[in-house]
Amino acid sequence: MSSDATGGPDSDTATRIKALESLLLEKGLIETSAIEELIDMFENRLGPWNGAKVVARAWTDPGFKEALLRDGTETIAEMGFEALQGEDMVVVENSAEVHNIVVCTLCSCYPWAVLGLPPVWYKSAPYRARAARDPRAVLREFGTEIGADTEVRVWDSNAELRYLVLPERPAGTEALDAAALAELVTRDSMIGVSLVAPP
Amino acid sequence: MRKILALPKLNVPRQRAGAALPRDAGEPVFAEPWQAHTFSVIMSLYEDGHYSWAEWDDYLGYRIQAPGHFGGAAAEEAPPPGTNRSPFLAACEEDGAKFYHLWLAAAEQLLDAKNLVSKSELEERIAAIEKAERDGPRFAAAQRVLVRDIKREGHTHLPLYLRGKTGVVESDRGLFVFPEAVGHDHDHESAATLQHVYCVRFSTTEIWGEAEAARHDLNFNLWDYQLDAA
Repeated sequence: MSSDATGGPDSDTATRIKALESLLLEKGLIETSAIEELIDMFENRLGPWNGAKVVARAWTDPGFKEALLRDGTETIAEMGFEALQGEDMVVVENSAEVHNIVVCTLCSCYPWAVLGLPPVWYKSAPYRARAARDPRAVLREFGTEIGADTEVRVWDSNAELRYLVLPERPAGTEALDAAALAELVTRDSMIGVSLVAPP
Repeated sequence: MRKILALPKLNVPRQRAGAALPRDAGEPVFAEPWQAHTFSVIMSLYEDGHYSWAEWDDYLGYRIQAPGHFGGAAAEEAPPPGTNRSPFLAACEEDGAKFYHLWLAAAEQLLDAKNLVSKSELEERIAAIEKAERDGPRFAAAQRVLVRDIKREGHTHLPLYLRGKTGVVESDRGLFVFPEAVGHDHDHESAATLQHVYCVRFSTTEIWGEAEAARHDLNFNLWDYQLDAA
């Protein structure tokens, strides 16, 4: 039995959290219903679909886009996606000249309100190290080719400030409305490791 | 009165085809139920103001630490034959899978520092769970059991008229935290922290005597330490 949670098989780990939870329940510090409500929120309500709605609206509503880039926190909160830890949101826009990619080099900071919980790779040391050192190589790993003329900007996310990438609207989508456009927007495109593919 | 607490089962709500499902990767939000619970315990205590997010971030960041930035990664190699995933992405998945282990280790440390759950308290409870899960239930359904004649101070959790009576186990209700094993210090004879609770069925004649017509039976939920095999 390891003396903390960093090693050992998952059955040991499950016992540790079971023990922790049972003590916290006894002390009245947590409620089972609150824990299950939180899990439900992250499993079913917070996720990239929220971010996709923000992106699609920015593509179709110039006034909203201007507000979003000027004050991400307020504009996103007005759509009903409130920051959970009071962090600020900054939206960075991709263009032919600039490609943005987000990483949390120190841990796993991520814009939960618009993207939900981060994917496994986002929290890993190899991604966190390499995105800062060689972002173009990381982009190629995700199958994303960025032209040599395009500037790549890496944004380090932290506890106080989180980023959302506003990807480029793909060609051939002029006839689509915001709802149809939102269907095209992927989680990875809003982290900046991929582009939004045309329909 | 505080309700009797079952050992947490790490249930997770049903996944709906909802917003959170990452459509471009298809992986679940949490790989295992314990990860969902580890995450949510920290969120719940944070929301109730037991610590600031910056404090939590400090503990989590300490566990994660800065990775080997600028170290050589074996990332330029070609993907292994038969896979379409690069060694880099595979390494990301492998390393990222440790994340909730680090989250839990940080949680244990923060809760100890905040005097919410001490390290020794936690280790004791872990040992109790491991023992209870290793031992398993002492009785099975349909087994005959005798209610022990327990003499103790205070609340006995046992109706007096059941002492010395024989009943039949109707079902095992599972593992529960014995209330008086926590917080009180009066004599709890044989009362382990974690015990199975059994529903035991008694015939009317067994309890009230042969004169009583056997019109009904009585079912009681009894703690493991209150019972012996009959």
